[in-house]
Amino acid sequence: MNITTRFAVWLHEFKARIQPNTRLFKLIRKAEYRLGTALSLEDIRSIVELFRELESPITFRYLTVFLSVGLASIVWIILIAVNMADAHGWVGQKLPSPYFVLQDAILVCVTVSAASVVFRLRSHRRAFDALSSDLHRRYAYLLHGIKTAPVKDDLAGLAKHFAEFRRGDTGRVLSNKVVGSYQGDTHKLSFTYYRFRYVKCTSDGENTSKQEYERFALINEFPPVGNVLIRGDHRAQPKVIVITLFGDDSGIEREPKKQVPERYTSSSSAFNKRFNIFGSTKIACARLLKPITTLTLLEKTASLERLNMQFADERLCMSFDNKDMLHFTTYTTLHNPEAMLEEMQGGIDNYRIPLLEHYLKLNHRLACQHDDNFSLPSDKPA
Amino acid sequence: MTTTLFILILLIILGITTIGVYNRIIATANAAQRAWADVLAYERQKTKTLEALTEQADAFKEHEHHLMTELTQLRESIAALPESPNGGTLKPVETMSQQVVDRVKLAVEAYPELRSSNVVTGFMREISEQQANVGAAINVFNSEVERFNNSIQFFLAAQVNNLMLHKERIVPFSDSEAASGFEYQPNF
Repeated sequence: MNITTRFAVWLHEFKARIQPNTRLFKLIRKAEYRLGTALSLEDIRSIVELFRELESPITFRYLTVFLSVGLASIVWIILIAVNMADAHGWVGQKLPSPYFVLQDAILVCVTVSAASVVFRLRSHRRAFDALSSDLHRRYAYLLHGIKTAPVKDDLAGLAKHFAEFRRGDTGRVLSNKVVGSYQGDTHKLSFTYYRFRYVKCTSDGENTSKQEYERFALINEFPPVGNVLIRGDHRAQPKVIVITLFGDDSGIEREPKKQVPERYTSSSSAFNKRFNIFGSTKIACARLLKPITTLTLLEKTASLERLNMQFADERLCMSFDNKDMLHFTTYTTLHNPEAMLEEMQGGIDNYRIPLLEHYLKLNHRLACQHDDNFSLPSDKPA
Repeated sequence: MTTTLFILILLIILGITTIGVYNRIIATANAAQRAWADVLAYERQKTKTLEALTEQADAFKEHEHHLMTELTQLRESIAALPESPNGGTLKPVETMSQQVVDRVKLAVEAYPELRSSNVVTGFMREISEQQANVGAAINVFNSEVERFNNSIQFFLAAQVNNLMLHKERIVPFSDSEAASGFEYQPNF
């Protein structure tokens, strides 16, 4: 076998070794595109099935990285050795100055190309990991009948009714929106989940600093109970809440006497210790805070930090600091498509969203406590 | 001079503490009273719902004479409940109330025309809700009673109460029948 043939064989083997990276990357791009248009569970599973054709466990090959970094290192070592020899006079004559220009150019080229190979592979690996979680997320959302939606200009409408969305003084923005519906025994409740960010300015006389805060809100339909705010976020001063409960820009027509919300205390000291209650009228608060409602809210909302609940506009807005309302746990990735498909086939039991499910169930329970028992959607549970 | 100042400061501290303790006893007594009022209100509301249901359903009147008698007895028992908080007096009312509700449920089950009536179904839901409210009101009442009893039994509070207020310990509501069903029995 002559040298040309040997080189051709080596090149072929080399290409075969680095080809899986190219194939995997092409598959990732294809999967990302298909995920964007996927509408059903089948669609998602078919995307995972694309990866079955690759040898499991699927990983990126690091051969090109090793080669490029190794080559760059060898070049660096050689050039450093040449420079040292030149500096110590080991070589008979001094190297000409154009050599150093050429040397710098070679160093830059070799380093940049090695770095680009490393970073490109890293970004591909990240895309691969992100794709696994995106597939799981879409699958979980489809199973639970929820989907992301554009935020549009929701903030103005929300701020009109809910004090939570009038927080901040220099900036407010809704960054995420997820919509869905919950089918309980009696009611079907449509819900929306928002991620809300606002900026507050604080001044110590000389300097003004801006602080950014993040809040999350779960809003769902609720029987009409008047406008009542149950505040567990004690960062906000009562005065601020009093002003912002309805707000001057609310546009709600009210009798002049009812401009300022009334403070109410429930019959449970434990509830009063945890929450402050404000409402359009004390009667509205008293009607809402039946003993069963008081007890339910006290016992079932402990997992939410700085929880505020506002009942207004025939909706309930629960706002809190917890970031993990939509969190679910999965155990597989695209590294093993077979296992991932098996987990997906397990259905909703493998994709529980515990916090969301708990609070939707709670809100349904609260809605049942305040609905009209004589005009329910159906006589028999669905 | 120093002794006088010391005694003066001590008296001021004692005075402030006494006022604090006195106010706390009053506040907790009022909270217990309010929680008790809630229990009475929801008990009465439940009876009214039961009455409204029996008025709606003629079948009750024709065939369930016992039920009507029990309902009257229940109303009288609730009316006889004391205005001052006392969980002990609730026991017979709760037992009777449970019996009446169970009997109503059985009667509704027995008559298909009642079961299919939207109004009757609505009333049944209402009764379940009232029962849940009574249960929750009793729960709140018991925790308020605990706070009150603590406030008159703790050191210093007991002395302030004995000297100035003479408040009695409130009996919380307890279900001895349910408690006897537990294998574990606390040693108090």
